[in-house]
Order: sequence, then structure tokens, then C-alpha cells
Amino acid sequence: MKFDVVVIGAGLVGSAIAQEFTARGQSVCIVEKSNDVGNGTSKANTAIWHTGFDAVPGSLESKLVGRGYFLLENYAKQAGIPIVKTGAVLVAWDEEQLASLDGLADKAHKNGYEKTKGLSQSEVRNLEPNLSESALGGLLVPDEGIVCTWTTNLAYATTAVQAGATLYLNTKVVGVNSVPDGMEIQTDTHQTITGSLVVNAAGLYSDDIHRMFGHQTFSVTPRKGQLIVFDKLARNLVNHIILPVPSSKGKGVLISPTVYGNVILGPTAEDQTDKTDTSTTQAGFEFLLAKGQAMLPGLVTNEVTATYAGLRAATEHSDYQITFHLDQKYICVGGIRSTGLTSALAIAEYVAEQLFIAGHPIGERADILPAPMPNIGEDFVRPYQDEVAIAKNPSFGEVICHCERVTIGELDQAFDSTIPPCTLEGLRRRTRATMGRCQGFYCGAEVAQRLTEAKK
Amino acid sequence: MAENVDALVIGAGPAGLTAAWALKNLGIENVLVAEREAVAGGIPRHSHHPGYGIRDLHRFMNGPSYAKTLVTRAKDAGVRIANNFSVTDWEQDGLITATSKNGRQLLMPQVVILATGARERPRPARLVAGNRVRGIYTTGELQQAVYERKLPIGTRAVVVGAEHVSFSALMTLNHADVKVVAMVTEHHKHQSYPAFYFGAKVRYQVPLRTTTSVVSVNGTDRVESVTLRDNGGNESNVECDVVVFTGNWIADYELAQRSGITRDSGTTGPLVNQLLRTSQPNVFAAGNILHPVTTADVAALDGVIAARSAAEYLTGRSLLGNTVSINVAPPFTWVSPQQVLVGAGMPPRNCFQLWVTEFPSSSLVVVQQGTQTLFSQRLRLVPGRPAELKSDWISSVDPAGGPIQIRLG
Ligand SMILES: Cc1cc2nc3c(=O)[nH]c(=O)nc-3n(C[C@H](O)[C@H](O)[C@H](O)COP(=O)(O)OP(=O)(O)OC[C@H]3O[C@@H](n4cnc5c(N)ncnc54)[C@H](O)[C@@H]3O)c2cc1C
Ligand SMILES: Cc1cc2nc3c(=O)[nH]c(=O)nc-3n(C[C@H](O)[C@H](O)[C@H](O)COP(=O)(O)OP(=O)(O)OC[C@H]3O[C@@H](n4cnc5c(N)ncnc54)[C@H](O)[C@@H]3O)c2cc1C
Repeated sequence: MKFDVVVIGAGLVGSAIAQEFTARGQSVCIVEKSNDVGNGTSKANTAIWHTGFDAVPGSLESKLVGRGYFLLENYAKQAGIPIVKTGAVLVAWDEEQLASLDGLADKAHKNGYEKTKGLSQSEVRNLEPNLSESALGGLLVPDEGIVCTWTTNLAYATTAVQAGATLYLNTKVVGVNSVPDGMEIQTDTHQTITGSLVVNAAGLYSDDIHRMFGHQTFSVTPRKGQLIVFDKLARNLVNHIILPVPSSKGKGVLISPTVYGNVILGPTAEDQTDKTDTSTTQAGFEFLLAKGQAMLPGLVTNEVTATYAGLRAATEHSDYQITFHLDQKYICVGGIRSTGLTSALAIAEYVAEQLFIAGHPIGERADILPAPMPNIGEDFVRPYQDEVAIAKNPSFGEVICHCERVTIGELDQAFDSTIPPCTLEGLRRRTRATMGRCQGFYCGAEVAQRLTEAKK
Repeated sequence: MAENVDALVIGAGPAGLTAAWALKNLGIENVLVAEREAVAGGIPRHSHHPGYGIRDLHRFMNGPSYAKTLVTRAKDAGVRIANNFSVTDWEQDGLITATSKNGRQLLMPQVVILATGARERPRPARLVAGNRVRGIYTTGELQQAVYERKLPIGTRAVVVGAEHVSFSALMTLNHADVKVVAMVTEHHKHQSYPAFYFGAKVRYQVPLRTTTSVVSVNGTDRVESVTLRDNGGNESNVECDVVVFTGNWIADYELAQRSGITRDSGTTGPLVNQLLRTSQPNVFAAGNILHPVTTADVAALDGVIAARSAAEYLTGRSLLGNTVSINVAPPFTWVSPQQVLVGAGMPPRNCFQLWVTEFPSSSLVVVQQGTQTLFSQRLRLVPGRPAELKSDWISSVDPAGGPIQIRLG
């Protein structure tokens, strides 16, 4: 099989790139080793829609997060992806942190973000009355927000596939080979796929793929982030994203509402060698609960709905590893560590622009509309609340997952979609079914049975 | 336009069905039971073993027959049961919104009886670390998967918990041909009836690991093992492909919370007096939402009292008076009901339900108001199993004597 572009990896970054190239009239193939799109780092993050106010000024990341912010907002609104501009309050918990707030406002300015506002202790209290007494002051970042990472990834991949891209799931790239008119990709399914251009968007494994092309300019050290999701009844404890003052060790532990109406606490930042180990640990939970208790004492007494961990593709460099090797028909888009949800569309746009500048024929971008996504966010009308939808299709009135209020209509919609789920996990990411407080006590068996039947 | 109903019962489990039936017998016209599942009956629907109906129907039956009997009895009495009818919102002014195939429906009931039941805490709520893998169940999900959906379960299971419901999980696993390789409890002994335990030990040869906790569930795609820790801090791995988290109950209180009803921090359900009236005069509650968890017959018999109180409210005969609250001291974690309306009669089955989470040092339970001891009784106190404290003493409660305390003697 021969394509204009072969993209390795169907995470946020690979899917956005595939979408970009299909919109430019290229024939595209996405090769993904997992059984679903968005099943790596892109499924387990903090889901913050970043302004980029605290990026390293002048970095590529700063530029692409800033641009991605606007692209994602537009895209999400068109596709029906839940996105909410909650604003963030960066809170200083000691004198040293308080003193560093001015520097952060200055950094935001250097990143082209002008709307931060210093907050006194009482202003912080007014905005967030449930924070612990020890909050000394803060910085308001009014444009930070929250978004649904699952439907974002699914929308990119679906739009690409609907526009003609070929998606190979369960297909792992194991080697590459230079051939006269491009690059040949070898897979563990013994398929040979040739691309006039190959894009490495393999996330945690982007260094391994990079090595297959003979490059050793970076290596990925997975940095685990564990998170705790609290019950929806905790939702009214916070109005904004509560950010810590970043330190050299990373962005630190935050508290954030989610678009599904929960509150999350996390992430940790733990370097490890294993790229597959996404397990949570008792030590991680204890660390997070202590942090949560210190910041928002009312939070940790709530019921826990879920826990999870994601791995950031950290490298020895602080910036994204986006490099062009056109002599090899190869582009590396690796090391997209902790902002890729926000920046993926801008990364895709940047890759296309750079190719254009380099004189590679890549075509005009057509105005294709994003594939509409089912709304799984609480700030918009859900199907069970939608008179019109239920009148048209009564199965939108049949709630099956009671905690998350998912209807049979939504399950059927997922089963009939362009990229249907093949596992319970995949179904959960598309509909939220069984993701709530009971985790399937009431509906797990029926949801599993419906999935089994749909797969037949 | 909101539909007016005399009485709305939310939840068609044993408690709700019994309450609705009793309301009709008390002459209430328009009684509607809202049930979010496709079939009414609550948890017994998929609990395919005998042990139901003893105290309320004076019969010994299995869960599904029990559920069917209660549904038929309610329907025959003229109760309307709306299935696939999910109550989603409850405004402070009493307006209730539900979703069904017919769309969104508004209801304006004169009285509400909450009977939404209780569920087991799933793995994340217990903060058990490890991987998110297939093969992790609660007993509720397991029973539906085995009996209702006939889904494949696995081959080797670890059961977490050793209370009544854990033995119910054991029977279900046996039915599904899954070998139970360990039953794990943090307590120093199991918490069910000796007959259940010895029966299980002999029939299924289940090794019980006491004073042991689950550290993590491990695997890549599905469960491969669990890591256990004993009270000496030693960790060990047990290979299995199924883990069932049993017990550790929590009331299904989220709807109650939306209506602004006061909740009890111990039971997690609505705070009620012995007539099962909540903090809102026209809202009553019955069943496991009040005491997570008792057997179904006990839940059902709450329904009779809640119905009587609701009917009294509807006919303007609600008793008013002084309310005295009941507090519990450790090791008790809750009592249900939590208030005494002085001079207003007895709680369901003339007893209070009491709960402990540890095996206590004594069996003497003392009820005290100020310095005055009102009552004491020796009880078998077992974690994960309610103890029934006789209620005769409430006739001697002093309306001005301050809160009542229940403690260990
Ligand atoms: C804890 C945490 C919190 C975060 N919070 C935020 C946030 O709040 N906001 C934000 O914007 N970003 C956040 N991020 C970052 C964001 O999640 C990532 O930047 C983004 O998901 C990276 O996407 P990706 O496509 O590069 O990687 P992935 O999603 O990992 O995709 C790579 C894909 O490549 C596939 N693959 C790998 N090797 C092969 C092979 N040999 N053959 C075929 N396929 C292969 C993988 O299976 C995978 O699906 C966070 C990340 C973490 C871990
Ligand atoms: C595995 C297992 C084994 C058991 N074995 C026994 C036994 O052998 N003998 C015994 O006596 N007891 C047993 N029990 C306990 C018994 O099942 C419960 O005591 C009983 O079901 C409680 O009745 P209930 O009416 O309070 O709640 P439930 O039976 O839980 O009923 C509550 C109902 O409310 C509905 N509901 C909730 N929220 C809404 C809403 N918002 N809108 C509409 N409807 C709603 C639910 O769908 C459900 O049908 C067992 C329990 C379990 C889990």
C-alpha cells in the first residue's frame, strides 16, 4: 500500500496531523499499535486547555500552545467537544511563592498572554472560598480552561478517516526501510506500507522510532502522573482550576473541575524507565491526598470515583522534539510532554507550514468541518435532557448508566460510529458509561453485554 | 406541565414496592413508583439464591421470585410502576424531573418516599492501587453478569470481604465455575454466620486470609494478580484473573442530596426520625438508603412505616413535637433512625439498626440521655452486619433532656 503520508501513532498529535494532511488532499495512513485511537498518553492527562502563560518564553512549545489554544477553542465548538473556560487561580502558599507571582505575570507577558491579574489574599478567598486559610495570594489566569481529551482525539481521527484517511489499528511499526519513492514501514502484522513521507507521532516511543531512522537526538523518560477523580458532589467546592506555583520539578499538583462535573487532584511527577507502567500506587495516593488536604480541605472527604495515571513523554530537552529530515522523507514529532492536548492542532499546522516553506508539495488546506462528537460534558445539554433528541429516537430517553446518565441511544451511536469502540475502555471514553461513582455496580454487566453483541 | 401525583415512590426495590403497596392499602389514590431499570424489583432481581422474604412475607424464597412477588402484590393493589423511568433532578420547591422514552417528565408529588437503595464501593473508591484492568467486579455487577447476562467471568477469583454478601459472591462464582483462590478480610475473622462460613469452607474449599488488606490489582489487559499485605506488613502476590470487591456499602444518596435534604454522615443517607420522616416534612425514606445495608425483608418493612407516615401527612394528621437526636460513640459508626420524635411511636420492627466497622471489645450497648441511662442490651456486634437494638426505651426519652448517646458499656 502506498500513501502520500504515513503517520505513526493515533494519539492527539498523530490524529491531528493525519487530519491536517487529509484536509490538504493528501492520501494518509495512520498506523497505531493499540486497539483504539487515543489509547496512550492522550487518554490519561489532566485535560487542561492551556493558555501557555507559563511556558518557556521563546520556545516552540510556547508558540504552539499559544496558537493551539485558539485553534482548539474553535474546533471544539464546531465539533461539539466539551470545553469550558473556567479560568485558573495560581495560588501562593508561602512567602517565597508569593514573591514569585510578579515574575510569573512577567513570564506570561513574554509568552504573549496579557490578561493575568494579581490577587490579594482576600480576592483569592472571594474567588475560591473553600481553599485552606493558608492561601496568601494569587494570580488569576482568566482564559485557562478544561476540555474533554477523549472526544478531542476521537474527533481528529474520525474527521481524518471520514475525509479518506486509512486507519490501521492493532498494527505496530517494527522497522523502516528506504525505498526509491519514499519510506517503507514494516509492521508486526507483516503489512508493508509505503509513504512518500513518514511522520513519527509515537509519543512515549517517538525516540525508538527516531532511532529506526538512525537518529539519537533525544530519549524519552516516562514521567508518571497519578490522579484522583472525586465525586460530582465535590464539584461546587471549586470554581477555577487551582494551580500551584510551578517549580523546577514541574507544574506541581493542581485541583481542577472536569468537563464531566467531577474534580481531579494531581498529577504526581515520577520519572521511571518502563514505558508501559501506568499503575497507581499507595504512595502516590497518600502524596496527593496530603496535598489536597492542604489546599482544599473539604475535597478529600469526598468519595473517590476513579484513579488513574498517565505517562508524559519527557526528554532531556525542555522543548518539543519536532525535526524535519526530508532527505529521508521523515518528520519527527516527539517529546510532546505535557501540553499536547492544547497544542496538537497547532503542531499539525506547524508541520504543514514548515513543509510548505521547504517546498514540499502539500496542497491547499480545504475547509473541512470537524466530525460532530457526542456531547459527554455536563455544561452542555446531554441526550437524556434533550426533548427533541428523545422524540426523534426514544432510546436517548433510556438511561442505562445511571451515575453518568448515559443512554442506550448513545451506546448505539458509538457502536455505529466511524471508529467504533472494541473494548469497554473504548466505549467508556466515547460515552462515559460505567465511569461514574458505582463503576458498573448497576449497569456494568448490561453495558458489557451490549458491547459484545455490537461487536458481532 | 408537571403531573400531579399523591405519592411518588422513587425506587422499585423491596422497600419502595412495599411502601407503595402499603400506601394503596391506606387508601391513597394516585401512587406512582419510579424505577430507572427496565424491570422492577431492585437488587433481589439478580440475586439468585434463597434467603429472601423471611420476615416480611414469612416465606423463604430466592431473590428473583421475591422481587416478582413484591411487584405483583403492588400492581394488584393498584400501584403504577413506571420502568425505565429515571429520576434525575429534584428542585428545592419539590418539582421532580425524570427521563424516560417519552421524554422529560415533570412531576409534582405531594409526598415522596425515597427508596433508592445502597451499593457496594467499587475498587477506586477504596483507593486500591495498581492497574486499570478487566476482571474487577462488585458483587452487584458480578451477579448481573453471571445470572442475567451469562457473560464469561474468568477462572480464578479473589474475593475481598468476608461478610454476608461476600458469601453470596462466592456462590455466584461457584455457579460460574470460577475457583475462589482466596477470601480476604482486614478483620481477624469472617463476619457472616458460622454456617455460611463452614459451608463455604467445606464445599468450595476457600482459604480465608484474615487481617489482610489488598494493596494493588495487577495486570496489563486483565487481572493477573493481586498484592496482599498481612498485618505484619508482609506482601504477597496471589495469581488470579478475577477480583470481587464485596460489601463496603454506601447509600444511593445523590438524589436526596439534590433536594437539599439533611443527610447523616454515618449512614450517608437521609437523616430520619423513627417515623422515617426526613428533614423535609413531605419527604420520607425507606430501605437501604437509610441503613446500608440490611437484608431485604428489613428494608421492605421500613416501607410499611414510611407509607403510614406519608399517609398521615397527606391526611393532615402528621404528628408534630419535640425531636431529640441520637448520636453514636465509637466503635459505632451509625444508628438508624437518628432522631426520636417524642411521643410518636416506634421505629420499624421496634428496633434501631446499629453498625460497627471493627469487632468491638464488649457486647454491652448502653443508651444514655445526659447522665441518665435509658436502656442497655447485649448484642452480637459484627462489622458489616447490622445489630438490632430494641426501641422500647424511646417512651422514656425526655423531650428537654438533650441528645441521646449510644455507646459501648
Ligand atoms: C499526567 C499528564 C497530564 C497532562 N496534562 C495535560 C494538560 O492538562 N493539557 C495538555 O494540553 N496536555 C497535557 N498533557 C500532555 C498530553 O496528554 C500529551 O502531550 C499528548 O497526549 C501527547 O500526544 P501524543 O499523540 O504525542 O502521544 P500518545 O497519546 O502517547 O500517542 C502516541 C501513539 O503512538 C502509538 N505508538 C507508539 N509506538 C508505536 C509503534 N511502534 N507503532 C504504532 N504505533 C505506535 C501509541 O500506541 C500511541 O497511541 C498531560 C500529560 C500527562 C501524562
Ligand atoms: C449480592 C447481594 C446479595 C444479597 N443477598 C440477600 C439475601 O440473601 N437476603 C436478603 O434478605 N437480602 C440480601 N441482600 C440485600 C438486599 O438485596 C437489599 O437489602 C435490598 O435489595 C434493599 O432494598 P431497597 O429497596 O432498599 O434497595 P434496592 O433493592 O437497591 O432498590 C433500589 C431501587 O431504586 C432504584 N433507583 C435508584 N435511584 C433511582 C432513581 N433516581 N430513579 C429511579 N429509580 C431509582 C434502583 O434502580 C433500584 O431498583 C443482598 C444484596 C446483595 C448486593
